[in-house]
Amino acid sequence: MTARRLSVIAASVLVAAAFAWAFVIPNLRPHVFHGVVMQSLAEAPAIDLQATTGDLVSLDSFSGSLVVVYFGYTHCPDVCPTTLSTLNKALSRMGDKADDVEVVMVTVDPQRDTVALLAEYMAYFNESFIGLTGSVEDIATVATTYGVYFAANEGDGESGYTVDHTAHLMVIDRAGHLRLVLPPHLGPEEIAADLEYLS
Amino acid sequence: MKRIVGFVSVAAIAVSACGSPPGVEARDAWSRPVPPVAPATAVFVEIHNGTTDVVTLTGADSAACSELQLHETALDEAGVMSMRPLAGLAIAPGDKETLAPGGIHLMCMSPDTALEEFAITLRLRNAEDVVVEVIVEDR
Repeated sequence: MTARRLSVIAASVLVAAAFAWAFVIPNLRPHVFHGVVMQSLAEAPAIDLQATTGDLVSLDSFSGSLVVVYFGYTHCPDVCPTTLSTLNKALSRMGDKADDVEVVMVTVDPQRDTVALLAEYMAYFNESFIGLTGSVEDIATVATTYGVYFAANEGDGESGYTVDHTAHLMVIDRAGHLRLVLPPHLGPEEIAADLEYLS
Repeated sequence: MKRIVGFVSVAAIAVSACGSPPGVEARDAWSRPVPPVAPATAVFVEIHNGTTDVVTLTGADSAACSELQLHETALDEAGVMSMRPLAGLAIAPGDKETLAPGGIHLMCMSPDTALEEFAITLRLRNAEDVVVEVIVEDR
Protein backbone atom coordinates (compact mmCIF):
# COMPACT_ATOMS: atom_id res chain seq x y z
CA MET A 1 0.00 0.00 0.00
CA THR A 2 1.45 3.28 -1.02
CA ALA A 3 1.92 6.13 1.40
CA ARG A 4 -0.49 8.19 -0.69
CA ARG A 5 -3.24 5.58 -0.39
CA LEU A 6 -2.67 5.37 3.35
CA SER A 7 -3.04 9.14 3.61
CA VAL A 8 -6.32 9.04 1.70
CA ILE A 9 -7.69 6.31 3.96
CA ALA A 10 -6.59 8.16 7.10
CA ALA A 11 -8.21 11.38 5.88
CA SER A 12 -11.45 9.54 5.06
CA VAL A 13 -11.55 7.98 8.52
CA LEU A 14 -11.00 11.38 10.10
CA VAL A 15 -13.80 12.97 8.05
CA ALA A 16 -16.19 10.11 8.93
CA ALA A 17 -15.29 10.42 12.63
CA ALA A 18 -15.85 14.19 12.57
CA PHE A 19 -19.22 13.72 10.85
CA ALA A 20 -20.28 11.12 13.42
CA TRP A 21 -19.11 13.34 16.28
CA ALA A 22 -21.01 16.34 14.96
CA PHE A 23 -24.22 14.82 13.66
CA VAL A 24 -24.73 11.20 14.72
CA ILE A 25 -23.51 10.90 18.30
CA PRO A 26 -25.53 13.87 19.64
CA ASN A 27 -28.72 12.20 18.42
CA LEU A 28 -27.81 8.94 20.11
CA ARG A 29 -27.38 10.58 23.49
CA PRO A 30 -30.46 10.57 25.74
CA HIS A 31 -32.08 13.99 26.18
CA VAL A 32 -30.75 15.79 29.21
CA PHE A 33 -33.50 17.97 30.65
CA HIS A 34 -32.72 21.55 31.60
CA GLY A 35 -35.74 21.58 33.89
CA VAL A 36 -36.47 19.36 36.88
CA VAL A 37 -38.36 16.24 35.84
CA MET A 38 -41.36 15.25 37.93
CA GLN A 39 -42.48 11.63 38.02
CA SER A 40 -46.06 12.32 38.94
CA LEU A 41 -48.52 9.46 38.65
CA ALA A 42 -51.50 11.60 39.54
CA GLU A 43 -53.00 14.08 37.12
CA ALA A 44 -51.93 17.70 37.50
CA PRO A 45 -54.08 19.70 39.93
CA ALA A 46 -57.17 21.28 38.42
CA ILE A 47 -57.10 24.82 37.12
CA ASP A 48 -60.60 26.23 36.83
CA LEU A 49 -60.32 29.95 36.15
CA GLN A 50 -61.57 32.71 33.88
CA ALA A 51 -59.56 32.82 30.65
CA THR A 52 -58.78 35.87 28.56
CA THR A 53 -60.46 34.01 25.72
CA GLY A 54 -63.71 34.71 27.54
CA ASP A 55 -64.36 31.19 28.77
CA LEU A 56 -63.96 29.44 32.01
CA VAL A 57 -61.17 26.96 31.45
CA SER A 58 -59.93 23.84 33.11
CA LEU A 59 -56.88 21.80 32.24
CA ASP A 60 -59.19 19.42 30.36
CA SER A 61 -59.65 22.23 27.83
CA PHE A 62 -56.04 21.69 26.76
CA SER A 63 -56.17 17.92 26.68
CA GLY A 64 -53.61 16.51 24.26
CA SER A 65 -51.39 19.59 24.41
CA LEU A 66 -48.32 20.42 26.41
CA VAL A 67 -49.34 23.15 28.84
CA VAL A 68 -46.81 25.62 30.23
CA VAL A 69 -48.18 27.28 33.36
CA TYR A 70 -46.66 30.48 34.72
CA PHE A 71 -47.79 32.62 37.63
CA GLY A 72 -47.15 36.34 37.09
CA TYR A 73 -48.77 39.76 36.75
CA THR A 74 -48.85 42.70 34.38
CA HIS A 75 -47.43 45.31 36.80
CA CYS A 76 -44.28 43.19 37.01
CA PRO A 77 -41.63 45.16 35.07
CA ASP A 78 -38.76 42.71 34.89
CA VAL A 79 -39.16 38.96 35.35
CA CYS A 80 -42.68 38.50 33.89
CA PRO A 81 -42.15 40.24 30.52
CA THR A 82 -38.74 38.59 30.29
CA THR A 83 -40.29 35.16 30.87
CA LEU A 84 -43.10 35.71 28.36
CA SER A 85 -40.67 37.02 25.75
CA THR A 86 -38.38 34.03 26.36
CA LEU A 87 -41.31 31.63 25.98
CA ASN A 88 -42.29 33.27 22.71
CA LYS A 89 -38.73 32.85 21.43
CA ALA A 90 -38.71 29.22 22.57
CA LEU A 91 -41.92 28.51 20.66
CA SER A 92 -40.53 30.24 17.57
CA ARG A 93 -37.59 27.86 17.65
CA MET A 94 -39.92 24.87 17.79
CA GLY A 95 -41.61 25.54 14.46
CA ASP A 96 -44.72 23.40 13.89
CA LYS A 97 -44.19 21.57 17.17
CA ALA A 98 -45.18 24.76 18.97
CA ASP A 99 -48.74 24.34 17.68
CA ASP A 100 -49.33 21.76 20.41
CA VAL A 101 -48.01 23.95 23.23
CA GLU A 102 -50.37 26.11 25.28
CA VAL A 103 -48.87 28.88 27.41
CA VAL A 104 -51.03 30.18 30.24
CA MET A 105 -50.22 32.82 32.83
CA VAL A 106 -52.26 32.74 36.01
CA THR A 107 -52.28 36.24 37.45
CA VAL A 108 -51.15 36.63 41.03
CA ASP A 109 -52.68 40.12 41.02
CA PRO A 110 -56.36 39.61 40.20
CA GLN A 111 -57.34 42.96 41.70
CA ARG A 112 -55.48 44.92 39.02
CA ASP A 113 -55.29 42.37 36.20
CA THR A 114 -58.69 42.56 34.57
CA VAL A 115 -59.59 40.11 31.82
CA ALA A 116 -59.26 42.88 29.19
CA LEU A 117 -55.83 43.99 30.45
CA LEU A 118 -54.56 40.43 30.66
CA ALA A 119 -55.88 39.60 27.20
CA GLU A 120 -54.05 42.48 25.51
CA TYR A 121 -50.93 41.97 27.58
CA MET A 122 -50.61 38.26 26.78
CA ALA A 123 -51.46 38.59 23.08
CA TYR A 124 -48.65 41.12 22.64
CA PHE A 125 -46.06 38.46 23.43
CA ASN A 126 -47.81 35.74 21.40
CA GLU A 127 -51.35 35.63 20.00
CA SER A 128 -51.80 32.14 21.43
CA PHE A 129 -50.80 33.00 25.02
CA ILE A 130 -53.71 32.89 27.45
CA GLY A 131 -54.16 34.77 30.72
CA LEU A 132 -56.15 33.27 33.56
CA THR A 133 -57.75 35.09 36.43
CA GLY A 134 -60.35 34.61 39.12
CA SER A 135 -61.06 35.55 42.69
CA VAL A 136 -58.13 35.87 45.07
CA GLU A 137 -59.40 32.75 46.81
CA ASP A 138 -59.61 30.71 43.60
CA ILE A 139 -56.14 31.77 42.52
CA ALA A 140 -54.75 31.03 45.96
CA THR A 141 -56.25 27.54 45.74
CA VAL A 142 -54.66 26.87 42.35
CA ALA A 143 -51.31 28.33 43.43
CA THR A 144 -51.23 26.27 46.59
CA THR A 145 -51.89 23.02 44.75
CA TYR A 146 -48.97 23.83 42.43
CA GLY A 147 -46.68 24.77 45.30
CA VAL A 148 -46.63 28.37 44.15
CA TYR A 149 -46.17 31.17 46.65
CA PHE A 150 -47.42 34.70 46.13
CA ALA A 151 -47.88 37.69 48.43
CA ALA A 152 -48.42 41.40 47.82
CA ASN A 153 -46.08 43.96 49.40
CA GLU A 154 -46.75 47.43 50.60
CA GLY A 155 -45.84 49.84 47.85
CA ASP A 156 -45.12 53.51 47.55
CA GLY A 157 -45.52 56.07 44.81
CA GLU A 158 -47.34 55.38 41.61
CA SER A 159 -46.05 51.84 41.33
CA GLY A 160 -48.44 50.83 44.08
CA TYR A 161 -47.64 47.40 45.42
CA THR A 162 -45.46 44.63 44.04
CA VAL A 163 -46.20 40.94 44.31
CA ASP A 164 -43.62 38.35 45.33
CA HIS A 165 -44.25 35.12 43.45
CA THR A 166 -42.71 31.82 42.45
CA ALA A 167 -41.16 32.35 39.05
CA HIS A 168 -40.87 28.71 37.90
CA LEU A 169 -42.61 27.42 34.80
CA MET A 170 -44.64 24.24 35.22
CA VAL A 171 -45.05 21.93 32.25
CA ILE A 172 -48.01 19.57 32.08
CA ASP A 173 -47.60 16.77 29.54
CA ARG A 174 -50.09 15.53 26.98
CA ALA A 175 -51.45 12.96 29.41
CA GLY A 176 -52.26 15.72 31.92
CA HIS A 177 -49.44 14.96 34.35
CA LEU A 178 -47.16 17.59 35.84
CA ARG A 179 -43.93 16.55 34.11
CA LEU A 180 -41.38 19.31 34.34
CA VAL A 181 -40.49 22.37 36.36
CA LEU A 182 -38.40 24.93 34.48
CA PRO A 183 -36.43 27.28 36.71
CA PRO A 184 -36.35 30.99 35.93
CA HIS A 185 -33.60 32.36 33.69
CA LEU A 186 -33.48 29.37 31.31
CA GLY A 187 -32.97 30.59 27.77
CA PRO A 188 -35.24 29.99 24.76
CA GLU A 189 -32.97 27.27 23.40
CA GLU A 190 -33.05 25.26 26.62
CA ILE A 191 -36.80 25.63 27.07
CA ALA A 192 -37.45 24.70 23.43
CA ALA A 193 -35.25 21.60 23.76
CA ASP A 194 -37.22 20.32 26.77
CA LEU A 195 -40.62 21.11 25.25
CA GLU A 196 -39.68 19.54 21.92
CA TYR A 197 -38.63 16.36 23.68
CA LEU A 198 -41.97 16.18 25.48
CA SER A 199 -44.05 17.10 22.43
CA MET B 1 11.01 77.85 15.10
CA LYS B 2 10.41 74.23 14.11
CA ARG B 3 11.18 73.20 17.66
CA ILE B 4 8.60 75.62 19.02
CA VAL B 5 5.93 74.36 16.59
CA GLY B 6 6.77 70.77 17.54
CA PHE B 7 6.50 71.54 21.24
CA VAL B 8 3.16 73.30 20.77
CA SER B 9 1.82 70.33 18.75
CA VAL B 10 2.85 67.79 21.41
CA ALA B 11 1.31 69.95 24.12
CA ALA B 12 -1.94 70.24 22.14
CA ILE B 13 -2.11 66.46 21.68
CA ALA B 14 -1.45 65.91 25.37
CA VAL B 15 -4.23 68.30 26.35
CA SER B 16 -6.73 66.77 23.92
CA ALA B 17 -5.85 63.25 25.14
CA CYS B 18 -6.78 64.32 28.63
CA GLY B 19 -10.00 65.80 27.26
CA SER B 20 -12.69 66.60 29.76
CA PRO B 21 -12.07 65.33 33.26
CA PRO B 22 -13.14 61.69 33.76
CA GLY B 23 -16.70 61.45 34.96
CA VAL B 24 -19.63 59.08 35.07
CA GLU B 25 -20.63 57.42 31.84
CA ALA B 26 -23.81 55.48 31.07
CA ARG B 27 -23.66 52.90 28.28
CA ASP B 28 -25.85 50.34 26.56
CA ALA B 29 -29.16 51.51 28.02
CA TRP B 30 -32.07 49.38 26.84
CA SER B 31 -35.61 48.41 27.63
CA ARG B 32 -37.71 45.47 26.46
CA PRO B 33 -40.69 46.17 24.20
CA VAL B 34 -43.89 45.74 26.20
CA PRO B 35 -47.59 45.91 25.34
CA PRO B 36 -49.24 49.33 25.09
CA VAL B 37 -51.33 48.37 28.13
CA ALA B 38 -48.28 47.45 30.22
CA PRO B 39 -48.43 49.41 33.47
CA ALA B 40 -44.66 49.18 33.89
CA THR B 41 -41.41 48.18 32.27
CA ALA B 42 -37.77 48.02 33.26
CA VAL B 43 -34.79 50.01 32.03
CA PHE B 44 -31.31 48.48 32.10
CA VAL B 45 -27.99 50.31 31.77
CA GLU B 46 -24.27 50.06 32.49
CA ILE B 47 -22.88 52.86 34.63
CA HIS B 48 -19.12 53.49 34.73
CA ASN B 49 -17.69 55.62 37.48
CA GLY B 50 -14.59 57.31 36.10
CA THR B 51 -14.26 59.65 39.05
CA THR B 52 -12.11 59.28 42.13
CA ASP B 53 -15.13 59.28 44.48
CA VAL B 54 -17.89 56.83 45.27
CA VAL B 55 -20.88 57.83 43.15
CA THR B 56 -24.39 56.74 44.07
CA LEU B 57 -27.28 56.30 41.67
CA THR B 58 -30.33 57.52 43.54
CA GLY B 59 -32.99 57.45 40.83
CA ALA B 60 -33.86 58.71 37.39
CA ASP B 61 -36.35 60.79 35.43
CA SER B 62 -37.74 60.54 31.93
CA ALA B 63 -40.50 62.13 29.91
CA ALA B 64 -41.32 58.59 28.73
CA CYS B 65 -42.19 57.37 32.25
CA SER B 66 -44.55 58.89 34.77
CA GLU B 67 -42.09 57.74 37.42
CA LEU B 68 -38.72 55.96 37.38
CA GLN B 69 -37.80 54.04 40.50
CA LEU B 70 -34.64 52.16 41.38
CA HIS B 71 -35.61 48.57 42.18
CA GLU B 72 -33.93 45.27 42.84
CA THR B 73 -35.30 41.89 41.82
CA ALA B 74 -34.14 38.98 43.92
CA LEU B 75 -34.72 35.28 43.49
CA ASP B 76 -34.53 33.03 46.53
CA GLU B 77 -33.60 29.33 46.65
CA ALA B 78 -37.25 28.32 46.33
CA GLY B 79 -37.58 30.24 43.07
CA VAL B 80 -39.64 33.04 44.61
CA MET B 81 -39.09 36.36 42.86
CA SER B 82 -39.36 39.51 44.91
CA MET B 83 -38.84 43.14 44.02
CA ARG B 84 -37.95 45.95 46.40
CA PRO B 85 -37.17 49.66 46.03
CA LEU B 86 -33.50 50.58 46.47
CA ALA B 87 -32.52 53.83 48.14
CA GLY B 88 -29.33 54.00 46.11
CA LEU B 89 -26.69 52.04 44.24
CA ALA B 90 -23.10 52.95 45.17
CA ILE B 91 -20.45 52.62 42.46
CA ALA B 92 -16.83 52.57 43.59
CA PRO B 93 -14.26 54.82 41.89
CA GLY B 94 -13.11 53.29 38.61
CA ASP B 95 -15.77 50.59 38.87
CA LYS B 96 -18.98 49.89 37.00
CA GLU B 97 -22.44 48.55 37.86
CA THR B 98 -24.69 46.85 35.36
CA LEU B 99 -28.44 47.10 35.74
CA ALA B 100 -29.69 43.88 34.09
CA PRO B 101 -32.76 41.60 33.93
CA GLY B 102 -33.32 39.64 37.11
CA GLY B 103 -31.35 42.15 39.19
CA ILE B 104 -31.25 45.89 39.72
CA HIS B 105 -33.29 47.95 37.27
CA LEU B 106 -35.07 51.24 36.86
CA MET B 107 -38.81 50.63 36.98
CA CYS B 108 -40.57 52.87 34.45
CA MET B 109 -44.21 53.43 35.32
CA SER B 110 -46.83 54.10 32.62
CA PRO B 111 -44.22 53.80 29.86
CA ASP B 112 -44.72 55.47 26.52
CA THR B 113 -44.63 52.19 24.61
CA ALA B 114 -44.86 53.87 21.19
CA LEU B 115 -41.23 55.02 21.44
CA GLU B 116 -38.33 53.09 19.94
CA GLU B 117 -35.91 55.06 22.05
CA PHE B 118 -36.15 57.63 24.81
CA ALA B 119 -33.87 59.67 27.04
CA ILE B 120 -33.51 59.19 30.78
CA THR B 121 -31.63 61.33 33.27
CA LEU B 122 -29.71 59.40 35.91
CA ARG B 123 -29.72 61.18 39.26
CA LEU B 124 -26.35 60.78 40.98
CA ARG B 125 -24.94 61.70 44.35
CA ASN B 126 -21.33 63.01 44.13
CA ALA B 127 -21.55 63.55 40.38
CA GLU B 128 -23.55 65.49 37.85
CA ASP B 129 -26.69 63.98 36.37
CA VAL B 130 -26.11 61.85 33.29
CA VAL B 131 -28.49 61.73 30.32
CA VAL B 132 -28.54 58.53 28.30
CA GLU B 133 -30.61 57.32 25.37
CA VAL B 134 -32.53 54.08 25.99
CA ILE B 135 -33.00 51.74 23.03
CA VAL B 136 -36.20 49.67 23.06
CA GLU B 137 -35.33 46.19 21.81
CA ASP B 138 -36.04 42.57 22.59
CA ARG B 139 -32.90 40.87 23.88
